[in-house]
Amino acid sequence: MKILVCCGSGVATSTMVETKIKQSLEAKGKSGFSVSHCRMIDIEANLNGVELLVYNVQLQKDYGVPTMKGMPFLTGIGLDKAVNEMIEILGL
Amino acid sequence: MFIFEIISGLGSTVMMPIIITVFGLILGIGFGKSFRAGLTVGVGLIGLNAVIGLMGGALAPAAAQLSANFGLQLDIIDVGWPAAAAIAFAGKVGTLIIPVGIAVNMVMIATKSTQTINIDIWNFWHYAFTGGLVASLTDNLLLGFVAAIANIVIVMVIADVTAPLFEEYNGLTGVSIPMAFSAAYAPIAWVVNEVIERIPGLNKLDFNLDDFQNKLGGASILFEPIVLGTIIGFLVALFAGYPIDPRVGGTTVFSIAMTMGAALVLIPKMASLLMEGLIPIAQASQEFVQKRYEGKGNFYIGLDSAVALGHPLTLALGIIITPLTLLIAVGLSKIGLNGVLPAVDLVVLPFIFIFVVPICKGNGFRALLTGILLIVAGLMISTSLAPVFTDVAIMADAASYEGVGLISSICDGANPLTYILVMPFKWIGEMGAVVVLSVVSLVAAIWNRRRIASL
Repeated sequence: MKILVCCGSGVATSTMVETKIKQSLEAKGKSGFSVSHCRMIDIEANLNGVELLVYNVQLQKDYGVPTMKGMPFLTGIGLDKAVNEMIEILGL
Repeated sequence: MFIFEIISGLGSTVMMPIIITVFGLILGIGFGKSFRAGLTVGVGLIGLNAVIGLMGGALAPAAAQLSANFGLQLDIIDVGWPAAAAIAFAGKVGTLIIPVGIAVNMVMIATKSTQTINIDIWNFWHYAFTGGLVASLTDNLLLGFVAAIANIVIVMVIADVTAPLFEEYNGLTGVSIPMAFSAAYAPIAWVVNEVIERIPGLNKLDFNLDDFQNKLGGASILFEPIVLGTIIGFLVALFAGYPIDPRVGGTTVFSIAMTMGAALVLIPKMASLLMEGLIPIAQASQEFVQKRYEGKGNFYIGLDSAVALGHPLTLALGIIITPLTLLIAVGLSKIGLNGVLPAVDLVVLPFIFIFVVPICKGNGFRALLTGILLIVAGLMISTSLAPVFTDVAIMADAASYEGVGLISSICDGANPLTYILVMPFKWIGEMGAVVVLSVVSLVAAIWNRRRIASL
């Protein structure tokens, strides 16, 4: 169960979102997933085995995997809803 | 102060972990988590310094030789934003910038002079950078904080005012961007846009870059840091006259190329580690601030400008400006106006366009023109600030930065807002600068307060 978080710089927001995703899923007792992050420009190169793409910037195209907005993980607003949605998409 | 002396004497790679641990404890996240956060920051710093040392060691002599060969002066090494951030956080202003930044935000909210709750804790370093330069220039820590606070106030106002634009052009609702590097370019973009708007003929000019990334296709690999760095290293070494044939002896062109490629990949990775360390602190600060204002009114959430990076024009212009920046750097150097060799920060060029694109109403021509002006001015600023930057770096970490020569960066080293907040201390003396900065901040805050009240 691979989750890929992308953002503009691949450093700032994606790191925070990645951490929050890990914390939120673990808090719900979920396991068997891994999260990584990359820059938006590098998405193609990192798609191997990815089952969910979380984005912090507008995506330019369809990468053939389910996507989700990363904003709730960044701001905390709508976080619960987003976590549940994520669990549903991944079938965790 | 005695405590500062001891802590600075330990060096930033020991000092920062201690401070982060203490912050964590104060924020109530427990010793384990705080200690781990502190250590991670320390490790990130050590990694960062190591790679920068490696890069500087390879690039500085090559750049000097290149400059000598062509009558240029490109010996100021662009060490990039990770270094700038590390240096900023490690400085005395940086130590307290997180609580100070939160306090200023809270005061502004209480006085209704901002609509933004700034949770972009990591990017507080930009404010500390400005403050650090002033503290070093004036040898006065308090003045450093004055400059940092002025920076915060001005950027918060810019963030508020531009938030609707980001909703329109980037689809970001309820968000504002108080990121001091990108926001600094907003006023200039605004001026350029207004001027061009009034020039008949020119004001109709635009070009369509919507399909740029697809058209660029395979060539986009050239702009990935790993490839870009290698290419730049190769070119610099080549024009510096380094040997291609390893049998000749000495460092080959290829060796420098690989080192640069490595630097442009490893330096951000170390910054990533640094940020990871900071995350528990950032999260706890974020929760503290957000809980306080929950349900107390409509606020913008202040985020990193990276969330607005997805606009196709921003990305396209970021790519276009990369070779242009190198050309401009060389050109300006030929006429003695620039001494900076762009390197690590070539990857942050898109961040310059974040505010420019919405303010220029998505017009590619205006945005590119603004971008070119900003690069020209930015390189000159970066050159001018290099001595102070280098001083601050040596103070933060003498082991890594002493003897490397002059350093600077594009991210914040070339920041016009930073420049006009720092230079008054040189141009009109300390008293004058404090007065000017205070007046400007107060005017901005009061103006914003009136604007908010009338919404």
